[in-house]
Amino acid sequence: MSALLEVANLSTHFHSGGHLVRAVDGVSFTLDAGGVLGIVGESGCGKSVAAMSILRLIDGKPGVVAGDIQFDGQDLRVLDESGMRKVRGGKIGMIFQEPMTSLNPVLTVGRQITEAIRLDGSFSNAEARDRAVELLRLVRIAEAEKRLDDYPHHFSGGMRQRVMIALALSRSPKLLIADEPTTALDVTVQAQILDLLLDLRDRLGMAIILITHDLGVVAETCERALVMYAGRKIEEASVADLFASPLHPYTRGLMNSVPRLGDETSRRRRLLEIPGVVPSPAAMPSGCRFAPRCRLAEDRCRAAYPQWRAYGAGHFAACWRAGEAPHD
Amino acid sequence: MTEAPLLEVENLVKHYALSRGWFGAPRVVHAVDGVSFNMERGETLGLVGESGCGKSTVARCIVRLIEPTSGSIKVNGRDVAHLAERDMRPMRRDLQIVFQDPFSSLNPRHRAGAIVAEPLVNFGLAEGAELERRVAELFERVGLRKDQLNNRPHEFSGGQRQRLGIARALAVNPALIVCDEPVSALDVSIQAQVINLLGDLQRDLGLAYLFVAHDLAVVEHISHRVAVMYLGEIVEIAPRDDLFDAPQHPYTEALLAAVPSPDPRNKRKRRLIEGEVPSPISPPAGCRFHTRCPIAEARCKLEAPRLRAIAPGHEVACHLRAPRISGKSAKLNAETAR
Amino acid sequence: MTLAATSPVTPPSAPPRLRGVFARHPVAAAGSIYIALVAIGALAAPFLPLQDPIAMSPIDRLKPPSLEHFFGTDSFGRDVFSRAVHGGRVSLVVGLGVALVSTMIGLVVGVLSGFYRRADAVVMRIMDAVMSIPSILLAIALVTINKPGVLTIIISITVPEIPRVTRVVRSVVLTVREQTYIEAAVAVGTRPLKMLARHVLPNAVAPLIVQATFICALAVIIEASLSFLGAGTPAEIPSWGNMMAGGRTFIRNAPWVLLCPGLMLGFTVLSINMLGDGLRDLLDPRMSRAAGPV
Repeated sequence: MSALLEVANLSTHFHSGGHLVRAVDGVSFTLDAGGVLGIVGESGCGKSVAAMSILRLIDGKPGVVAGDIQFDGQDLRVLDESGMRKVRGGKIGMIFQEPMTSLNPVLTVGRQITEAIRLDGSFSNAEARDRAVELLRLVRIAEAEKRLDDYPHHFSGGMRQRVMIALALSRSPKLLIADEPTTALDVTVQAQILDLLLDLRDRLGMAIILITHDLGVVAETCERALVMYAGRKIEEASVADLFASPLHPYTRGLMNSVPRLGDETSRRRRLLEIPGVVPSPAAMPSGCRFAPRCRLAEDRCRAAYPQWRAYGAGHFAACWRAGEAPHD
Repeated sequence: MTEAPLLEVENLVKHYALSRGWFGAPRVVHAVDGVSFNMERGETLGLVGESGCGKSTVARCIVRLIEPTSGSIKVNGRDVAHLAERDMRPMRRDLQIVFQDPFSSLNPRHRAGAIVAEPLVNFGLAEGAELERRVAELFERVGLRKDQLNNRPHEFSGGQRQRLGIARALAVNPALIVCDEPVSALDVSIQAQVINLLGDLQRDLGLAYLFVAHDLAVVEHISHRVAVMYLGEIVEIAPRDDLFDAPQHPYTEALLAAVPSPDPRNKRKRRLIEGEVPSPISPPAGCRFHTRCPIAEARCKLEAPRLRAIAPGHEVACHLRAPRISGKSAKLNAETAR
Repeated sequence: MTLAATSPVTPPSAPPRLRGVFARHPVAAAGSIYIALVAIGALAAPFLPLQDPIAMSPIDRLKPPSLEHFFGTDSFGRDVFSRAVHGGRVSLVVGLGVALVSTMIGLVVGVLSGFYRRADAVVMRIMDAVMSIPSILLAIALVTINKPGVLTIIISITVPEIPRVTRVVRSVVLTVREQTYIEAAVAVGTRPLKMLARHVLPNAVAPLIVQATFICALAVIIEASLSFLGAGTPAEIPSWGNMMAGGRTFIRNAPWVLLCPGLMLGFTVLSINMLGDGLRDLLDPRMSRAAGPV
């Protein structure tokens, strides 16, 4: 099976305050049709910028996007703006963290969905309305016909996110990019939305890129995951491998620094914290970017950026000491 | 025990009146509806629940940033629920708060040293060289450097700002610090630093924390006891191990089941509860959870359950899981429900 | 190390260097230079080698501008330049006086209104009523009761300006009240007066200064209008409005008598407004934050 999305060496650089900010620096990944890929990292690691760069939502002028992006047999880097608009919201749907700001507050939900459906011109008004009802049912909104005439503020946070998903699905995308889709939601609602996304994947066969800071969300929903730190991809593996044997000290640090629910041994014990803070984009360390916070760092880590290497089938990491036995 | 508990909250109620139209009855938000609990010195009580459950309102009532509608809040035996601000001020030396947002909770115009010094100056605890020494000591205590004393908040990272907020709360040597979602605005790797700091401070200074959070794993990690709130009421309160190992209330079960587990081998088949939290303007009659409860019965829609002890220190408000001892049928109900 | 808890509050970032300010806001710089010239001239007028602004000299009446009389002479043979420089005194006193008094009163009323919600509804309705009084009519009314004079003018212009300041201050106070750091200050036992001085008022300084410049410009215009109508500065004191009124009848054969004070008035008001615009940009916390270390 050929890949649906192939991203090679994606880099997004900005000029800000006299500095070159390497928001995304040489990130590559592939995603098969129907696959679920997680991109994990803390704020500022470049995970959202990477997704925006794929969709060319990064403003061209201050930023420089480089690299190769092949999507569904098309080279997105050479596509013109009108072609790109067809891809966005067409073959690729998007949902974001805050559903309220992505919906127009003065238009009914039905109007917004039917407009999106009618964008490709093959639906009449009545057909589009039927399809909108169908979409709202698909995202499990009760009394779909009635709710079409409601405005966004009539919906609760979780319902709004469902509307956003319906909107993203309006033109049967092959890929759904979900950027922190559940971060603003309560935990019981988060569970419902994640469940819905996986169910839709199974039924519609679309692929999903799930961008999140929450390792638990990745573990529960994704098949593969890549971990980003300071603009770089530092580890990539199947979710099973990643959680069973994390290789990069940062990945291990992240897993150890969050308490686990129901883990009696961790109760009231000191968490293993990662010292320090993420480096400022203006003062990136030479060599491994995690070295200043890494317990295992040695001279070669500070001297040169580690090679991206395979450690077992489909498990990659960028760390000089990744092959060694875990130290914590 | 002759000594009064550190904190006794009894039947705390906070209603907000929404502006009414020209006609019709005023609408009331039932933010907190009859919450009671005690806290001992040096313990951490976790207060969890989803947005709108009233946990932050409880926190703000206790440090009297808002005045409760009714009920009592006894600190060392003295009721502060309705004190005027002038009489409340001396009580504030025992009651401090750390806020969620490390950005807006620090005045951007003030220097870090001045922010931490403010409580000391307010209570006349130190001045001059002594003040400088105490502030420097507090900086060290929370892991900030002395050369950061003259920096302004925007020069600090999120985690450091939260340390500043903690140092400010510590300045007056309080017995209780209310932590209102203190780590939820921080990045994962920074959360651990702040949680560990709170743990160290408790061990060294014997502080009590009322730890308000929506992150159950963090609450499990840090608390001695945990109270679960739903729509303005406590539905379950228990020692930490009891609550996480053997949750009784269906809502607690649902909350725990909904947390994604960072262990892919452990993908539980989730029991999702339907729907979302109803509006606190018109909470459901009877048990407030009955609209989403997987085991609700006819009685749950009519009669509101009270908190009942099912084990020492473990109280549950559920007709089915904590039945009235008297009725035989109630007991039977509970057994069939399991 | 000094602890700012006991020292006065300073703005979020160090004040930018004056040269840098001028480079970024050439308009504001030009405005402030012109205002400075007018102000120095007005203050130092008695000591400058100017001709007597009041002494009449019928032989020299209505002389066009020359090296001897830069702005020419008026119908009584008085030196227009000297009178225009002296006239700046009245404008300066009225402009600053109105700005200062209305700002002070507006500040107090605004703070009370923003802080004590019960007073708010009443105070703001009173302010609405005050705002609807036109200052020119108020001045004419006051002049008929009182004798005309600078004080009367200041009062009549100040009164309708107070509500404007009140609104600005009140909105600042209402915004700041919602900040978590105010709650934090309550929690650590900060008393109300200290709360005002340390946490609330510093936020009001910048918008107040900007508002004050605009009120100052408005006051200069209204004073000139009142004097022009004869309800302002007494005729024996030179002021731009008086001078323009006196030159009105000679506009055809001696336009300089009206134009010179008129232009001076125009440039002064324009300069004050330019300065105000510049200050608004400079004092905007978002701007200063972008300029300061991030």
